[in-house]
Amino acid sequence: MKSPAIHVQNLRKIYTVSEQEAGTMAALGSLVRRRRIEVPAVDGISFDLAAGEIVGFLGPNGAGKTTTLKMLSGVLHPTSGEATVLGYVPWKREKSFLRQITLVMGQRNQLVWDIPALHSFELNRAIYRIPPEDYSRMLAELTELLELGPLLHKPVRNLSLGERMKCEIAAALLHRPSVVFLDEPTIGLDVTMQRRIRTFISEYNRRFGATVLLTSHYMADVEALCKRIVVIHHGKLLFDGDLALLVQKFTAHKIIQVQIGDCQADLNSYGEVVSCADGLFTLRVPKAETARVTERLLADLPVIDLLVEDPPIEEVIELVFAQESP
Amino acid sequence: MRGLVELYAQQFRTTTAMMFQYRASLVIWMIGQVLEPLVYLVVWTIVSNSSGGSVGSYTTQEFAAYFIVLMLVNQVTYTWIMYEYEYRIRQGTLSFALLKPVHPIHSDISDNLSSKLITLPIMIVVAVVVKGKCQG
Repeated sequence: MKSPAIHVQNLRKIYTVSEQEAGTMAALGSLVRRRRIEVPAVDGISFDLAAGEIVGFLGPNGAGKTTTLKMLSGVLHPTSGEATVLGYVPWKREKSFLRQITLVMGQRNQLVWDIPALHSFELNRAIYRIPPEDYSRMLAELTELLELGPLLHKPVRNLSLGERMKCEIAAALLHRPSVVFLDEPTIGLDVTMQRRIRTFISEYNRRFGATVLLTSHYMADVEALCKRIVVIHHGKLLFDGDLALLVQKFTAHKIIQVQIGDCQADLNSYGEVVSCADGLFTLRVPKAETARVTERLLADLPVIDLLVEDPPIEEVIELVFAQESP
Repeated sequence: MRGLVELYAQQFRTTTAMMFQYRASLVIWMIGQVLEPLVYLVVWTIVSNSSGGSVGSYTTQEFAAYFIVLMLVNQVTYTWIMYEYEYRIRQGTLSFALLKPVHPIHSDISDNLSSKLITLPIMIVVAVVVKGKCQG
């Protein structure tokens, strides 16, 4: 059996954080004695990723996603547990390992701020020792896929957030990493730019067979890119499986959209009325009753159109986060 | 070793581009480097001239030589690596340097060497001019 590209076994990271009250006396007191608490950021999670897989890594703020990505990219040592990425122990930071991975953080800037991105690209070429012909080919490909042409010669500080993110991603992928960690790559971007970045990630994965672990608060990213998702909350694993399975497991209801003449009718006897606009009712009904309610709606009302669907993924994720950790 | 030489050469090109991006900042920095030893030099030259051409066993020319060398030594030995590291550790940006397959110190050494290589010729010209003025 082929070994996984990423293997995580009972990984834990506990941060020691000092606490302090407000005020001068408390500040003085902290010189002598610090009150420290232990915060379990990642609390014994396990999962595997096969080579070439794109997996969404979801969780609310403070769930432990970034800490996990930092451990898997070798920036942080875990408190306990095991992990291998491409067969390497990440925190040993072997050069051959670092040459095969990359970490892109949407909220952090890696490019040299004052000068055109092309300088940062050249610097990365030297750092990763990319042969000139490979560099030229990869730069051309990335320029085409991300439409970087007009951006390469402008100082990074003069680029818009979206343009900068495209350059960040290009800089991080010039050495053609086999494992890509993406921490909210579309944060703060407009819808068009988000879509473009998504298409690019999918295309990069297809062309180079890269393994991608992606965190994002935009469910559109996850739905478009990831068949499988891993959900963590309070540092613990809540769910690992198909996105469709998550919806089945965590939702006990379906959404019925029914178009009738206007919003005057009272549909409360059919299910919970979520909203109505221009005669389009949105009803929430228990899963087991969906067929019966649909039949009744069609029989009782002058239905123009009717649609049965799963609740939006945002709603499902919210439900998952609301659950207690196992 | 060849890889490191290439890295240092590339860092030199990057640092040059960064320094030349803000011309006014470069000029202000140069003035800052020259002004302090120059003020000392002027003060001690006046004191020396008013005391018959020397203070203790130091002549006016020796004061000039001392402060010119001080200016050059300051220029060559001044480093900002510790402030940069402190900032990177506090802000969490050192993480990115740790993701690269070279030790982060190489970028800083090459950056420091590069900026000194770029600015030293200008400092030498300033030193020659000051020396000429003092002798004249």
